[in-house]
Amino acid sequence: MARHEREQPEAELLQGTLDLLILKVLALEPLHGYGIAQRLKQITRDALQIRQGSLYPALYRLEKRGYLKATWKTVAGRDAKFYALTKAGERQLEHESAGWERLSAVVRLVLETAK
Amino acid sequence: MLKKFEKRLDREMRFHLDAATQAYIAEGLPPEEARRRALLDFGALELAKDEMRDLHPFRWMEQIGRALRYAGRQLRKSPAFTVTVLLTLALCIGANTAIFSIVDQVFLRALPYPDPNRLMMLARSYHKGNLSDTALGQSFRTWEPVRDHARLVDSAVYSGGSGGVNLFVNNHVEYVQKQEVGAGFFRVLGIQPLIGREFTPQEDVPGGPPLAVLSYGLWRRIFNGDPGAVGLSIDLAGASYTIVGIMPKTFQTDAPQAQIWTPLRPSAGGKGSRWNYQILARLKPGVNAAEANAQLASISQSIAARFHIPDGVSIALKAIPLQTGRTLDVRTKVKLMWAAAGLVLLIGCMNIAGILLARSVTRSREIATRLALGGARRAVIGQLLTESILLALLGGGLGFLLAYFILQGMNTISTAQFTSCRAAST
Repeated sequence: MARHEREQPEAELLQGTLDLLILKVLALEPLHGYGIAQRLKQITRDALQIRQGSLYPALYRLEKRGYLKATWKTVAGRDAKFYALTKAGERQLEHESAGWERLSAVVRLVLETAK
Repeated sequence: MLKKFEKRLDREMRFHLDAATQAYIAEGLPPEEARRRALLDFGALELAKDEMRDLHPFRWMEQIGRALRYAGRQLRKSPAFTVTVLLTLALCIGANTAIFSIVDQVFLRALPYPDPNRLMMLARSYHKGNLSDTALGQSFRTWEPVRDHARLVDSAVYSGGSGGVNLFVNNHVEYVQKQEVGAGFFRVLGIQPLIGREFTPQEDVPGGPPLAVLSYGLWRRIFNGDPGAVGLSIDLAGASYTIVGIMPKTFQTDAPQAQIWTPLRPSAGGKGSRWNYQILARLKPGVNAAEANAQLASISQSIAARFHIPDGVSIALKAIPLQTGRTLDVRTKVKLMWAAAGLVLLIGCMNIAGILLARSVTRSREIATRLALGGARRAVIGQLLTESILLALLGGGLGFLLAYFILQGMNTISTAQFTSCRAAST
């Protein structure tokens, strides 16, 4: 609980963004946690520093909200937890992407107008 | 459930770290270094795990369990404090629960009869100047005019309380409580016999036939619930009585021990010459208490003429709610006891508040240490609350037990008292 108190407002923003990125990655195909981390790394070309440790709580949170559904599958003889997007997750992805588009458009507008 | 959760959590983390380590090994790093890099990439592992545990739906159960165990340890560590608070709580809550149970019976609980608000009891009220007194006892001389002239109420006369008699029937002997009730008693209360009937006015006269109405419990015990019991004879104190009715299971009169009812046979002599009767009245449909009382007041004038009443004193019959009438002599006492118990509770609360305050001062070091070590304020406050709740629950439980014993004791005392009263009256 102390953690929440030490969190800064920027971290909150990043967390929301992370959720969006996870949903987007999983929209392509179900993946396990490590796979998601790798995919994010590839897509962002290492430009975005995502601590892998923060990935899992986000996955659990999304699963609890019903946006993700998890199943255990065997990969190379080992059990791995795969996450897949649910119908609610798809809707949430659309909703969040639209929100993000709007936000970034507004931010861009402000930045360009103020030039 | 939580164990399974832990296991899966571990397995998922291990899969991730192993995969990341393998990737680094594939890049050519030695295994040790690969593992270190994988852990480094991951960040604070335990912190992440804790965050995930917080998302578990039954997490709060575990947290409450832990908080309770810790609170229990804290309380055991200071037994003097714990015992003081628990005893104070137990006494306060026990006394108040017991008194409130009585208050509930005396003032709040509706009588177990249909339309209890329309059930009245007739009282004699005496006035002299601004002095007044109320008495519930009635005699044949007050019953007669009520029976003949009080048309706004449906009334019945009966004898309050019961007396013990020996009952003999088919080799069965039992000492039972008998209450004498007039014709219409059950009708006025609004409870019909389960089987059979009650006494008619023609039967309920001096020299009338010896009849009896049994309680459900007695009927089950003696006749095994055989409906054919109505019409049979039983022997009460050496005289033979014919059973005419059986009352329903939950039926009770103001003499809760009574199991058998016989006709009162009201007369001006014997019991009827003194204030041994009580008069029950039900307001007829559409009549309110004020109208009934107005009629009773006019009847009272003829009653006053029948008694030798000192000059300047007036007597009037008055209908008071049955609930009030039944508890008339204890109402003030119960209110006083209630107030006293309330004060005890108040004092107890202040005591406990004081003790808790003193304890919190002595614990400020502990709390400061916890906060300094990174304990969240919420956790510390939660812990203090848990301790208080644990104390309150334990104290409440003890108080409940105490109340139970107090009420048991009171029951024994009052039953003994009633029995002696009954013995005295018969």
